[in-house]
Amino acid sequence: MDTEFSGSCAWRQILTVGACLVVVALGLAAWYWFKIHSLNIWSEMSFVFMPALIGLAVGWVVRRCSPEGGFGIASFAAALTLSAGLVGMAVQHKIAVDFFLRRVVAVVYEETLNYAKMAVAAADDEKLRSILSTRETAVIGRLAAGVTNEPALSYEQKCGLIHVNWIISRR
Amino acid sequence: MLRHSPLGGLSGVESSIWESSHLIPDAFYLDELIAKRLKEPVPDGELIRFRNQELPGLKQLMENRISCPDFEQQLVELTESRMSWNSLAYYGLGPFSGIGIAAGVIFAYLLARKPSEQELI
Repeated sequence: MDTEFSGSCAWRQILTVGACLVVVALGLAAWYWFKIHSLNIWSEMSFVFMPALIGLAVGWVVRRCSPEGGFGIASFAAALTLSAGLVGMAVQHKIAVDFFLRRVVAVVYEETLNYAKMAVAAADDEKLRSILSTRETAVIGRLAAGVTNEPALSYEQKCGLIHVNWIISRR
Repeated sequence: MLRHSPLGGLSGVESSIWESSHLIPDAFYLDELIAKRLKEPVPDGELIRFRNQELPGLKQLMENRISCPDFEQQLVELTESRMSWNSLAYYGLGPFSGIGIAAGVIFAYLLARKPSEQELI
């Protein structure tokens, strides 16, 4: 009798854990969908309420599947919600970073191209010297040439990263 | 005040990009450094360096040998390759997201624990 009861309890707990994982996966998928579709409206919108909704859903599922409750299953629900919240926040942040970075990089290309047009067209040393001493973009090349702590990066990669960093600093 | 502290005054998204693109030690904000370096005279050696090191790349860009999408994609991939998930989680967390996560954990725990335990409280 006791063995049957404990066996049924174990199965119920396994079912509860599975259901919780499904609920968390659905919550994270919904969170991802909301974030992707809100980028064009307000790219920095943060769905801070999603962990609370996931927590409510996980708690409700545990209550339905395993009504006897207990410290173990409640702690599992709390830990799962905490993990889902941290993962969701990181993914949400990554999406926002990617969106913003693409806009920054578009500015990098535009500024580099404008600078290239002027620098390539410079006929003599005096004209070139004047461009190098008046265009802020020209300083990026000088700074990149002095960077020695990143040997794995090429000169162009250093210029690109410094330009991105400069645009962030200008904001 | 904020301008002279690392990452002070930048949002979480900006901080993540700033950290992954930061190459110059001791220079938190490059706009100040670039404005300072622009005032310095350009030596002859700099012209030689420019012609040898920088001009070929700029010519390639001008002649469209590096297309705009390629340029942008390479730079995005490079910048993102220097970001860790730990850093993204760190800068992605703010006071409100912390409250959201704490609320979720509390809801999940309170709903999931034994009903008789709740009645005692």
